[in-house]
Amino acid sequence: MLIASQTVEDIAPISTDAGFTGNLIGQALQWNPTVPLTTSTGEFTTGKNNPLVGETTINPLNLLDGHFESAKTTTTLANVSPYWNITDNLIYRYRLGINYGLGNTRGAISGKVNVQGVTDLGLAGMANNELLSTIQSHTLNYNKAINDNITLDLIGGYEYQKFDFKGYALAGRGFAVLDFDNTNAVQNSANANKRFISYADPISELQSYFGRANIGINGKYNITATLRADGSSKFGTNNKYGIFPSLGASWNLKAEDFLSDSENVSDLKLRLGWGKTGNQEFPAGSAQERYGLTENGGTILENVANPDLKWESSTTLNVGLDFGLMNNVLTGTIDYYSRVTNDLLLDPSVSEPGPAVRAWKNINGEVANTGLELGLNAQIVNKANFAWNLGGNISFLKNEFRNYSGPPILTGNLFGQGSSGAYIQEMKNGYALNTFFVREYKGLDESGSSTYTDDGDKLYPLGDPNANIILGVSTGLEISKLSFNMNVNGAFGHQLYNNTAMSVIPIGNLGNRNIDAALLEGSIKESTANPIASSSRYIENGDFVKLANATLAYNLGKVSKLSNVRLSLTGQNLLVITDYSGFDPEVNTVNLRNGVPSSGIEYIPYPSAKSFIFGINVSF
Amino acid sequence: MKFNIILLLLVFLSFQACTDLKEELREDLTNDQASKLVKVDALLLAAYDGLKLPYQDQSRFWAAQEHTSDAAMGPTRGPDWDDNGIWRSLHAHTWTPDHSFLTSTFSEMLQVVYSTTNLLQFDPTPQQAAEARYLRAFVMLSVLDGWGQVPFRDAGSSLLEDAKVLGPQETVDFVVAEMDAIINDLPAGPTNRANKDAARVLKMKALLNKGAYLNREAPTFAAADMNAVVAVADQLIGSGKYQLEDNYFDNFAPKNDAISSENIWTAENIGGVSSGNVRSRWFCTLHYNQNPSGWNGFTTLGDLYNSFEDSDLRKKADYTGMTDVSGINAGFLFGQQFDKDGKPLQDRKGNPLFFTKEVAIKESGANLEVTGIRVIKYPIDYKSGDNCDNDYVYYRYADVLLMKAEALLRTGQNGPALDLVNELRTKRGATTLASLSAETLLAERGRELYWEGHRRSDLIRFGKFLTAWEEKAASGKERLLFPIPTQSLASNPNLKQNPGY
Repeated sequence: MLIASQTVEDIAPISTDAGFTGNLIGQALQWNPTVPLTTSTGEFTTGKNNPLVGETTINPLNLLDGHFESAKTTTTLANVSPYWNITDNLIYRYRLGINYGLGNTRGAISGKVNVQGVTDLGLAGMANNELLSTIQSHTLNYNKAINDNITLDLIGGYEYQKFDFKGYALAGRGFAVLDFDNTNAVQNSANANKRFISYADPISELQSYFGRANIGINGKYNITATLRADGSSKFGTNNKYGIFPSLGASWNLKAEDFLSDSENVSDLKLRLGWGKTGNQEFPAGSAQERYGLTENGGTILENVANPDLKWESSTTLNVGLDFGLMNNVLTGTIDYYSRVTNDLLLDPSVSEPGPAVRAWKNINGEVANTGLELGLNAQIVNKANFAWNLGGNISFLKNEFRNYSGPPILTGNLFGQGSSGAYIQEMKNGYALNTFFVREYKGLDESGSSTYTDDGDKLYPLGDPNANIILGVSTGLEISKLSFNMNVNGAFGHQLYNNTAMSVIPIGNLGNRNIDAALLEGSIKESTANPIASSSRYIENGDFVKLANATLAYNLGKVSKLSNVRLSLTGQNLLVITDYSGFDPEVNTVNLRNGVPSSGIEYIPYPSAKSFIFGINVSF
Repeated sequence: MKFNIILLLLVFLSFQACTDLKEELREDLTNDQASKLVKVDALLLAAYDGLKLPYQDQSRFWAAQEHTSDAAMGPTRGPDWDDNGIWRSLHAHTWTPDHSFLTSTFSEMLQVVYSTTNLLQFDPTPQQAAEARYLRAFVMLSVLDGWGQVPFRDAGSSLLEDAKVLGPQETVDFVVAEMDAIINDLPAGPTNRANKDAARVLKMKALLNKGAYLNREAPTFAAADMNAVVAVADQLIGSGKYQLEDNYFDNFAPKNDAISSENIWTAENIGGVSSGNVRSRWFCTLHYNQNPSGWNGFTTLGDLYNSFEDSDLRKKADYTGMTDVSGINAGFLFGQQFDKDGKPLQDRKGNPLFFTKEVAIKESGANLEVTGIRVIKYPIDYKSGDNCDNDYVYYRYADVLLMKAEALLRTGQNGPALDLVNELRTKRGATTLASLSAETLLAERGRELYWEGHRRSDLIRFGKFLTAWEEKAASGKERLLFPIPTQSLASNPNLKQNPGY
């Protein structure tokens, strides 16, 4: 099998780690609404032709016009999977899969845009990345019904994966001609401002030996045991391999005598599972000592060896019940799980005195996730010309970082004006992951300045970005040839941090830039001199219910020579019910600090689109 | 059958892939490959460069020494400069273990301890080794001064093992022993390389402050240490190499490596080529509408300004190459500011650019742009662009004289101490003092060494660091030490958080 595809994407100038001048979204939010974006002569309005516009303010229309970025991704997939029936019960299977991806980006910012360091110079560059991944596996499968009651299914195998990533980028700044697509002639940039880099990660390899045994007894009991030994070249020399066993059992109660005749209970199954899985998501080359070459021919220590670096592992225990009632008119599942993740992979700084590098380590402490999930689906009406089903699921979740003895691990860096060095989240023993630790905002004083508990010197845990409840509802209705489907989802009990409100549209903008209109609503007038500071003021409830998609379709059936014609209209992201004041409560911009993941922070992201799709499906 | 042969061939080929999972580097080098490329001179240069950020940047050790004192403050000016209270917390003594500037300072200084120790493994010449050991001791004394604990690794020990931690006595003993051990291998000069006299001053600093490092709440000073300070000072005075400069600001001006006869140990900044962030000394304080357009941030406080006599050259002086270019004078900028033609400047709202003595730590009024007296210690280099030619001054001769006076005073020799101070004051255009006490000596150090990165240490040594001063209330005794940064504690269990944090 061979598949080749290519996608081309035009990218808008929206980075989420922008400084005080912001990105396109931020510039659009901040733009003084009383100033037109273009002058009467058709030029872009800037600080040069309009004193109401600040010197460093970037006209978003100007940026959009002067910014160009196009990313082309080419993917080629090839798969062969021959097999050999050695005996009736024994099958050997070989699989070879190759995935080659090539990403090519070209971009430029015109010198006519008011961006510091680019104005009157122009910037153009391109980047090229390629990833070749190969997977090979050999499996032997033995499958036999030992007698009428017992079936046995055994699989043993070996799997090998290889990842090869490399790339290059080049860019130039300072072009003589500004009104020109300088990506086509980067060499014409100023000599002092030409840059090129190339890179190649260490080739990383994964090698696994695995076995699985499955026994079915009487169609009632089923037991599956697996054992994997996964090895990764990325780990330290002492710990390349991780052993990951799992055990699953199920009991089909419906097959038992006491239920087999029941009309009310059409399905009932109890499941029990326990297993361990491994995680090796960190950069290749992190376990060994590495020296980088510097421009002047010297070398610099880039990474400290950690020969003990080992797999992060998660142990999951799961109990579940599947049921169907009244001829499966009502079906459902109940699941309880507990997942504990150990040996977390993080890269804290090396113990000082050290070079300016971090080292990947397995830190002590564990992340515990527990959840109760309920799912119900009802076929309320099921007739030839009229069918209606309604389904819902609800999950109750809990998350805790525990048994950790070190000092808090900080993350959640904020960006934009007034945010230098500010962070708002901590991984701290006994708290949920990424709990917000912030100043406690106590409102404005009579001079219009923010006040805080303890004068803002102490940070309090005042929010948790992890939802406690996740909800999904779906329904489908079919009346003759007309059908309607709808999915609603929601999450509750969590908080979000609105870095956009804090840094992009604060009161200090008043005078020449736009502000959040809500700032003018209070009884006390906020002083325009009130400093921007991170605090619980910008923590908001993230509860939401979203109409994720809805489809209305009409099936015309056979139309002249066409065997089937179906018309449909789908809307996505149609309605959001939330008190959250930012763009979208389903937000997560990347606010890492020292590589530690953050969550639940919004900073001028690309707004989520509401889309409508009209479709005609025709079969010949 | 044919199919099976192809299959077997594939199987055979693929088993070639069975791997020992050894990871091969591609863009980087292994230790073996790298050590063949190491040049000790390059490592030494990198170690000197490593001092630039933690000492010259406006947010590092300089801020830790000056913003925390009665000589400097970074007020919040409405929407500007609040930075979540990071500057205010220094002056108000409310910093926390997560203060990002203190964290960075600690970490960057210890990077120099690492790089200088690492260099010793690569077979340096005796002079290269001596220079590296000087830089290491210099930084270690600063870390001791700030945090009271100095993480340390011997050359060649594994970075995955937790570093041992030296306490005050061990660090002072180490620094003094190192200076005695390396002095013969150090060069005589220039000032911007580790040199014999720099080692002498570092030893004086270690001994003079030893009493405070051992007991910050109630320092006592051993006569033997004070006598040693006086003996080293006499060696420097007797050498005749250094004189107090006629033009005080020549010590800090562009080309100060050539024109100052006072500087003993400096960081080399090469105009237009490479430098640390010495330009931040004027950018951080100048108003937006001055030349160059500054960041309108830091100020000094009225009490320090008021303690100068008008005749004092250190208070205010025109400086050729600066005042004629921009109208800005050296020393303190108080009152109406002018451009080079004497035309009064305005602030951004069109009001007169008139710097006031009154300044609050949180400015919110209509004049928040212009409050606070500004300080130009380093005459501005208008010729060199971003890389300025002003060498950054760590140690200079006037400090040696004042340290000698202090050691004399602490051993009851008030007369000779007063003579030394009056010699300095006369040279600076101030009237002579009739008598000398700890208090007047501390004040004189404040006038002579303002904004040079010594003030916090001086206030602690004289027992005044916890008292109230302008825009700061009396503070708790835990403030005599900075807290060990959270991330440093996380990576080394041998570090213990300083009491009170």
